[in-house]
Amino acid sequence: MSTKNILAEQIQRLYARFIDKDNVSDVIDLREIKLLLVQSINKILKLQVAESFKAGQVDVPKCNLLEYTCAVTSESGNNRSYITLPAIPLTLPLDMGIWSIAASNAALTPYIPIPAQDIIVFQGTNVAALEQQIGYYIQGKKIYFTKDITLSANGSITSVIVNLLVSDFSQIGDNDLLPISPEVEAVVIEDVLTAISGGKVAQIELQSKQSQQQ
Amino acid sequence: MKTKSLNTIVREALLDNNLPLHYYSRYLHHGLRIVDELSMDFDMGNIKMIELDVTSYQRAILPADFVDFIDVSAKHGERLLPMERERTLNKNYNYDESGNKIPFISGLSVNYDAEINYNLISGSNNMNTRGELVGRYYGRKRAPKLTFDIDTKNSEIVFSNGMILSKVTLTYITSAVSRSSANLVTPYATDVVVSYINMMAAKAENSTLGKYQLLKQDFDNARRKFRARMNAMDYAEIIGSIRNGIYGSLKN
Repeated sequence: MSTKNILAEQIQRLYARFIDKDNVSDVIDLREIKLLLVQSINKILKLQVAESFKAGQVDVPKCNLLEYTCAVTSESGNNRSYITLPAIPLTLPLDMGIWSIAASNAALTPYIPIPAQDIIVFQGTNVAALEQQIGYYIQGKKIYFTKDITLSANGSITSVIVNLLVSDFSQIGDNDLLPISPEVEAVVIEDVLTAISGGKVAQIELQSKQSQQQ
Repeated sequence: MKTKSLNTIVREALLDNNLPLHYYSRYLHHGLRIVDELSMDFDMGNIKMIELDVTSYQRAILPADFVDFIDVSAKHGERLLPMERERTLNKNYNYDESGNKIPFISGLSVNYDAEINYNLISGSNNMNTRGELVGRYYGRKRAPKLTFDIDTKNSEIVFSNGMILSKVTLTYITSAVSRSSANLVTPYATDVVVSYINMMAAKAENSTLGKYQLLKQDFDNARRKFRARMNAMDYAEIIGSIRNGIYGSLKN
């Protein structure tokens, strides 16, 4: 397993030695690499999940699930309650980026996820009753529950545990272990290197075009 | 009585297909659809019995969850004697001069009829406790005067003018699906519900025709098994049925 620093330095070395060895400046800013790392990990994560979906396996890499505790706010006017998303999850079919939400005191009985596109369609149908269970759906940056779970009749829930499929680097320091599976590391490095070298090539091409015009 | 919750059946279907909880609501929708459909043909706990008041204008108001009737009966001791349906009864309202609803004037008077006892299902000597004509009247076409029909337009039961009862007992079919409580079904239905869910999920996912047809075959077979289990008839029942028939033979 690697940290953000280990991967960034490895990318820096590789870039300097092999890809852009003729460039005068053989050092690229580490801050830039770390930003690219974050973007690359999220991109590859989504590709990884999409490929497993294609193969017929509906699953997400569990090491990328981050757990948050969120406070529940009542919206009594609409007889529902909501939480504000602590991070934006990956966009996956049936909103699987939000992997599970459960009351803090009932981790093994999660609320029922309802795909956002279904919630308006199934109003008035039998399934809307959800067999007396409580569901949730995403709308913008909020997750709404189908009932006001802060009420005593619905369990007097004040906070819930949310598992999101996301690489939230605001929670991970430069020397903390990255929440990615080991087999993804090589792909991430390759992706960042491609992004860096691509940018360089484009810049050199632009400069040569400008010098020809002059 | 042992029952199984639809919630459990849907979760079992998800496990069968290695799917996460995110598919729950769509699977539940298919589950509810098939339970609703099965309840139209089988007793899935959706057969209700209710006592209705007969109004001053010879009608009874149907319950809001009424789908179809099984029988309308008159109470006779510990038994319920089914009344006959007469499709020619006038379903239009009849009004008096003040605009109040009143029963139609009967073209037939029951007072002079010598056959009043059996015609009115009153439990006479010519009738057994199940309301069947017996003795020298056995096999005779009944001409009951205490009849009913269903007025679907006004959601009422219409009674003939000979109606003398103040209450009737209605046995009727409603949907087995409840929205106010968790749905429970007989364990016999598990397989047919799961196979329907699988079939509909494959259809929604644009699966290949071959896969869909296999799942449809699974569903048809499961439904066949379910029908056989729900309508089981054992040896004793068959014998009993034949013996009843012999017992009630014609007498001259």
